Amino acid sequence: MNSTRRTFLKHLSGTAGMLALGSPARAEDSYSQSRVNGFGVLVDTTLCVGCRSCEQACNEINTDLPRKSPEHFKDLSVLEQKRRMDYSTYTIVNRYQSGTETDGKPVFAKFQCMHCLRPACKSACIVGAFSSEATGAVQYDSWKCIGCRYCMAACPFQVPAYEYHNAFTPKVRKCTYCQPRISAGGLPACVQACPMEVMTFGPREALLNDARARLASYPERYVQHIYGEHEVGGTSWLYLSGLPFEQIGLPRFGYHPTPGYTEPIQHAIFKYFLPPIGLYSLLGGLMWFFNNRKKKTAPADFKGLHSS
Amino acid sequence: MEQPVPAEEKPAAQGSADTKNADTTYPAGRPIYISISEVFRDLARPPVKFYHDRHARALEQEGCEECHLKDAAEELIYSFPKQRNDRTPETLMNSYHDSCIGCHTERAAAGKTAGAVTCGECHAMDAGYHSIEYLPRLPEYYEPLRDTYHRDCVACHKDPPKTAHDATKLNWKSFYIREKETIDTSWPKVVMDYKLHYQHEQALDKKCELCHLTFSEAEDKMVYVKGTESSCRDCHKDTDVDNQLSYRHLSHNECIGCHLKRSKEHKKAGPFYCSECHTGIEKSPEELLYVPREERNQPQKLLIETTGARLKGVPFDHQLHELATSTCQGCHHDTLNKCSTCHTQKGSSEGDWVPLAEAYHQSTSAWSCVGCHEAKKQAADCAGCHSLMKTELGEASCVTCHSGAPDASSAFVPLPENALPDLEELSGELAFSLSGYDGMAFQLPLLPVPEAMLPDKTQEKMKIALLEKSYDASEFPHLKIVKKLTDISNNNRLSRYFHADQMTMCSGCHHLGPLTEKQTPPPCSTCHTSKNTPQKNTPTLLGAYHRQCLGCHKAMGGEEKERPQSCTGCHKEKTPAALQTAGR
Repeated sequence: MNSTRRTFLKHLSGTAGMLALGSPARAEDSYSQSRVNGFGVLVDTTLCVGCRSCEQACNEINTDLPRKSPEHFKDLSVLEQKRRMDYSTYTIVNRYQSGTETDGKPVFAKFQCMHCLRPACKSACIVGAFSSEATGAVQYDSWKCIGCRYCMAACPFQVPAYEYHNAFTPKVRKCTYCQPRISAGGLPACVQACPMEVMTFGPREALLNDARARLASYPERYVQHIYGEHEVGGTSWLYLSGLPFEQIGLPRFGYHPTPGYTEPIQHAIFKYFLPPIGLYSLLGGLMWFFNNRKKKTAPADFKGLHSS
Repeated sequence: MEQPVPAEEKPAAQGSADTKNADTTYPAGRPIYISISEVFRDLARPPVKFYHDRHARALEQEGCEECHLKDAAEELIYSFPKQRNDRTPETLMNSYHDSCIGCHTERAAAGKTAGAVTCGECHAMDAGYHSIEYLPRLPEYYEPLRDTYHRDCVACHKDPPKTAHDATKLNWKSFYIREKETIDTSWPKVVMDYKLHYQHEQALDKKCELCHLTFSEAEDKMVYVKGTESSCRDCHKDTDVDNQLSYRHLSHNECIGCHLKRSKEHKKAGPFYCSECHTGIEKSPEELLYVPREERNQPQKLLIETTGARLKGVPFDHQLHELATSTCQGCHHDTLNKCSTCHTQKGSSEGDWVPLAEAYHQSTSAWSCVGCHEAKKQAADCAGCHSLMKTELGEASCVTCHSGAPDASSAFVPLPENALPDLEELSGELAFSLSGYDGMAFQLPLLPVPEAMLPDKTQEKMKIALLEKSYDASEFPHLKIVKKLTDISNNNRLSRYFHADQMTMCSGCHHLGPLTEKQTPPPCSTCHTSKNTPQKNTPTLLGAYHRQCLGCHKAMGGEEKERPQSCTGCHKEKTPAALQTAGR
């Protein structure tokens, strides 16, 4: 049959569609890089005394947070309630009672963004405002953010907070991992400020070895498990605890990465506009086929517009 | 666990069998939960909460024979019901219903106080009770190991049990905790501690043969063999085996039987209501210090040694260690044999396959030497140093025990006879006053007060000013702390033995160094510098100070003034307060 420009273009787009089908690319990220090279923080909750120096240091360093005086952090009565991060703070310390001891020795635990190796927020964000850095930090770019708050819904730890009071330029607020400081070889502010040195900053793999050594040396002090080693695909912030982790506010998660439930659909099947291309190719093909058949069954004396 | 209290608990007319008055209720006591799950398996209705004490008091006039059978020798058998038919679950249920509801109906008809007759009144739902569900015990973080467990464990622990042998083993369901069953149905154990045993001895004129019988195969009856007295549990285990009753059945038959008989003969007798034996109060060894020693020809001091061992033997003061337990079973399980009888060097089935060395040295066991010492170290007075130390025995501690035969000069001085208070007078009391009496005088090293040592070694007060930023320099009362800890150590037999050397006390804080008398223990800043980034478990100086000081104060507890846990308790704040992140 005659090959017109139109037919050529149709064939070309159809081939492109087929090629796209044949190579479903994996979801890109620096996951594999940060797994080996990223930094982690090991939090030993048996050491924490609930002094809130970490909260104070975080507030001093992050100047875009509302200013709070040192007296604000000396007030330990806030520990009577369980708190969550909000727009004014990137980290909080909560107090828990050990359930089995009758003298109820309090246990403290610090919470902040866990800087997951497979972040749910980054996967859920429809404009790509989150990125995984090589240091392991999950960074938020407020310039890209459209305020849909899908990240807040997606995060398994319910970390991102939102400036609800800010009508025109609301931002999502979460721990930045002190990315400028750690990139320059320093420590996150909270890690440095802690008087008990509850937190240890270093390469994630080295911290895991350190944690295992601690579990082996003091077996009756800790629950024999490193929280964050594998939970939701692994997090940069690793926790050790003397109480079961559910009792200190760290939920019991499986090891499957959070984005792993949705990315096989979202990032694979819907990649490169494959479904619309596929659908229109299919419909176009069908239309072409049935059009051709109609031409074949036309009456012999039909004088069409283009008689050739 | 809190015991659920029945709703209609009223203070009642104690023991007065005012049977005409239908409103009289008796104190209920602790409930027995009748579920007999080995027969009834999964229950259709909640277990019955049976208040035995209430029934016993209500039927005091009628006596125990009202509900319990007597055997050929006119001794009461405490099984229930009288016409117990446990051929099938249904017949068992019917025997209970016939006895209980039958009696209640009769008494109600006669106008006496009677119990419930409808289903829901006895099979009452407790506040915490839900239907039993089997939920997995293994937390999700053991998921990767689940396949291994399924392959290895379930291979033996099958369900349902195919043979009677299997039935005694744990089946897979016991690996699953009944998370929803939140009622604690256990009863406190009745402990035959030294005082209770002494009271029985006195009451029965030291006639051991009345209780301590063993079965003689040759004569085919129970005989008394002097010198072989041991605990009842040595022979009587958890279940009835042919003629040999379970410990539970035996103890009720024998103990209550004897008490009842004696009280009928108007002699001094023990109690027979449930809550009077099952008090839940266990005497501590300190309260039993004055009880005269049980004489069973046990050794006073002995040398525990094994032929061919590399270390010297352990000189073991048995008499001294008797003061550290409330019963002989505290160390000797249920037999009164020496350890090596059942725990052979390679391990044997009698010893539960625990070899001899492990029996002495297992640090997590309540029965081993090391295990008991480890448990004592967790007391608040000791925890300041010992909670921060690794849980493993240092090699230097071996020779502290394995010191070989002691010389004759280290004999102990026993209590003079007339120093014992008259126990008869004190029989009503549960606690003794210990003020002013050491109990045993013995030669153990006493740590010298630090001033007796070279005066420039232990500094009095130190100014810790290396990290001044938000807080002023701290005035650290070093000598006061050393004195206090030395005092605590000197007041305790165990610590006095092990802290024989002053340097051992110093290494509580000045750890990780071989300390000798010649050198001053190094200051913390020698190894914990300000500069090193905390990568390993070696904190910087800031972390070292706070973990050591606060860690000790947290573990020992006490007054804020004495052991401060707040920031300003140790160092004053600088005004204006400096930034946390300044200068770093």
